Amino acid sequence: MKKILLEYANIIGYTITGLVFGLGFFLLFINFYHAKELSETLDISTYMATSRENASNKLQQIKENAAVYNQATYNGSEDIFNMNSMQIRINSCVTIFESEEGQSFLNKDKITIQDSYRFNQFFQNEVLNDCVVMQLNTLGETSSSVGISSLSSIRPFIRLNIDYLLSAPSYVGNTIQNADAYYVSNDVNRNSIFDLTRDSYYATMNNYQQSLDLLLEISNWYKNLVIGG
Amino acid sequence: MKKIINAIFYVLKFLLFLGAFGLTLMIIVQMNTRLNKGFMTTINVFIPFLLLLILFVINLILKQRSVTNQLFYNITCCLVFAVIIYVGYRAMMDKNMVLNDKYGYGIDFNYFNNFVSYLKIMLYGLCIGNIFFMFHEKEKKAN
Repeated sequence: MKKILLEYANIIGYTITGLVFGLGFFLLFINFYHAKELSETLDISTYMATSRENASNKLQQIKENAAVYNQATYNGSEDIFNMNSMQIRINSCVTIFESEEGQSFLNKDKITIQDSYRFNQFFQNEVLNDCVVMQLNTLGETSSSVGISSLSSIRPFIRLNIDYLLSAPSYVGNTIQNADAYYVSNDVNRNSIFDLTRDSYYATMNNYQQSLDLLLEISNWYKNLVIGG
Repeated sequence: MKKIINAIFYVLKFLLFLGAFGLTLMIIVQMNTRLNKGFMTTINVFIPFLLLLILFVINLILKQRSVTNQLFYNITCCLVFAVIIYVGYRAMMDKNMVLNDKYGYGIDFNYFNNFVSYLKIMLYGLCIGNIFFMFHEKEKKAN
């Protein structure tokens, strides 16, 4: 009887040690794999060539539209303080898009997951906060501080776009932050980090382009306002 | 040959144990300092380390060859401690970790914290395995 019990103790000892061995082995190799995945560099040169050109053309167009207004020569019916304010708002946004950091994301041909995250952070902190919220948000409000009457005609469009942009990027950042965890499989981790890096960069770039589109539409409206007098 | 390999893993086991414990202690202490928490709040992380150390000492003092000469157990111990060291190393040195970059503490506490439950499972597993290996039939002395 004692011999059988001792045999059982030995078997249980081997079983538990075996399970620990399996778990340790799994964790060691999944960590190696995870480290390798995180260090992966992704070539997005084809996608970025188009995006870069689009963004550059839009920015050029926005700058030209904003430059149409000149306080000294303006003879229109709108208040010049409002017109000046609009020009400053548009130019402030252009400065953010043309900043060194902003351009660095447009000029990347190879990205890592860190680049994806930093681009998302740049978009949220600089483009959304400093441009969309600080400069453009008031244009979408009925009690806008910019008292240009024709603003009401494009207000729903501005409001719709701003609401979309404000809700769009946070999930991308949260998804990337989840990339540090790999233990329990969930919807996020089913995608490989490789896909996550690319998809997040593309998602942020889409939001970036949409912000530029919004600014372009506003600048077009502004230009028409100046030319139409 | 088996004896030599076992001896290597046996010595390695203690060295890796020290490394794993030291690294875990360092990360947990820094994590607590950042959160202004007392050390006692995370003492449960170190209980399995302590238990395992006590068991190792008992094995050593009582000359329990059924455990000390157990090659599979020694390899598993080395593997577990190596995993702990590797995870600790990554938490500090892997600069591709997004949260490491975001928070800028130099250690990815979130990543290491995720690992703590697995660390406990493995260490408690080794403790239980060790206890079961203690029970064995005494070797009959050769006449």
